[in-house]
Amino acid sequence: MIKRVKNLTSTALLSQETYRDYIASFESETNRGIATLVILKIIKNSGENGIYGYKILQELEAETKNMLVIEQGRLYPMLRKLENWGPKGKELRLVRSKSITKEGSRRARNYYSITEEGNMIFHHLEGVFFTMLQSIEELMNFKLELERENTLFCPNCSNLIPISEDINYCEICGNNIMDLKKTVKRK
Amino acid sequence: MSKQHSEILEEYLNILKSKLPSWNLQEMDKTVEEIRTHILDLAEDLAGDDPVTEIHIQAAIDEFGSLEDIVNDFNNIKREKEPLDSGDGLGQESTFDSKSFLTLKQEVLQLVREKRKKQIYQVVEWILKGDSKMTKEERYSLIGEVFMANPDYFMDKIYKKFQKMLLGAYQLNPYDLERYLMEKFTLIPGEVIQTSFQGKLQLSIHVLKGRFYVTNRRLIFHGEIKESVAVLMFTRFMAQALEAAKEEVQSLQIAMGPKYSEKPCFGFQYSLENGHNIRVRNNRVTFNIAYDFQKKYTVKRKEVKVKISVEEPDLTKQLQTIQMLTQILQN
Repeated sequence: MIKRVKNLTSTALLSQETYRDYIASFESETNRGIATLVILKIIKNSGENGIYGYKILQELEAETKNMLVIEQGRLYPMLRKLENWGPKGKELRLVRSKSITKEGSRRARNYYSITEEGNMIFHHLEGVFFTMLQSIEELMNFKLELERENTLFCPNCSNLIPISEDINYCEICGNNIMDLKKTVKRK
Repeated sequence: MSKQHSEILEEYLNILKSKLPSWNLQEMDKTVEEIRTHILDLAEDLAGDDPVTEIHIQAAIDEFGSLEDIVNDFNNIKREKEPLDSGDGLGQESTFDSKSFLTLKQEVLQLVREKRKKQIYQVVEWILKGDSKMTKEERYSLIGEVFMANPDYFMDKIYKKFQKMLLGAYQLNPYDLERYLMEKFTLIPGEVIQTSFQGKLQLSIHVLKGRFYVTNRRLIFHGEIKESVAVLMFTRFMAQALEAAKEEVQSLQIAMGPKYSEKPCFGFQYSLENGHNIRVRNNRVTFNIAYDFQKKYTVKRKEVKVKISVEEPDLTKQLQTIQMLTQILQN
């Protein structure tokens, strides 16, 4: 899924095809979810105006300092999946697209923007991802520092929730977070 | 973009389109168009300030990624969207491995080459049955292979029986398969079926019953045409009358290279470009078409009256189709 993680230096082992295939398969497995998350984030950042496929990849390279590079052609199945996931009648639409020809552009492009539903799900996925990384901190011997103020993770479903007076329940699982808010504020 | 660049890109997109799962046509077109734009953007970036050449297009295609991986990803989405279904076996997860599929395909093609009609019926009957454990895509694709192997033989000797089988024994919509074959094998790039309808085509005194497909490029008629005076006249008339409007199709054929020339036409393509004296009455559109008729050393111009009757049980659809046809003719 993700073509190369640039800081991987080639070693003697990497020159062997079997090992390379194994690494590729490992990357593909671990990065599938990350790719969805980062693409959704880039689309979310683009706001209501939206962003088109080619630009998403450019943003991705810039934002991740060329660390994460998705194979270009594989972006479109992912976008299609974000746009319409699930069997007929039970679809989930995380993003929407609109074909627009902008001034000065010769071509019509599909601009993707996040839906309200997509926004909620994104926060949940983001929370799940961070919590998962946090859970392996000790085991893997790394320290994750989140630059997030005024947010908390739902202890039940890991949804990332902004701390606000109006929000007392997790919008994903419905868990009561009133007590948790007080603890975070005290800290 | 020069013709050569366009050729490379169109060929790539065409292969992609032929391999994409047969889903909603609009969605497929959207995806292909999106990929076209992406590759052109990428080629322009690769070219920098220089004009885009075929080298840049080819490099952009290479950079875009493996066709196999992209198609696999799309197929996976399709599988997720069409989970296990009971009943007729349509939309089922395949339990038929690719090796068996290829073996069966080879066997079927051998039967077509040897024109063993009875055996072909038997195999197709088995393919269409739910217990063949094939997905709808695999079943149709296999029948598509039979069609591609020998289109004339398929249309003359096999297809009618298929339709009866689909409708009778399996209660499947025969037009579903017809549309699949049309979309997969006979449409040219950028061509989209706008509507299809059941109807009659009358050319002077000859009446042909069948199904019409109105695309954004032409009108395709598919019906039972026996070898008779009607056919001769019809086909000759088609060849002559089409000449002017053929240019567009021919330029596309050239752009697509020799592959397209070998591509059989599912039905008969019919240009409405030089239609005039258009009249609409109830479910009928009547118009005249002029064509050049070669007679030994001279060319004579003839006029033929064409009558298309829309015979759809749904009156709203009938009305919409008539309006669409009239609009096409008037434009």
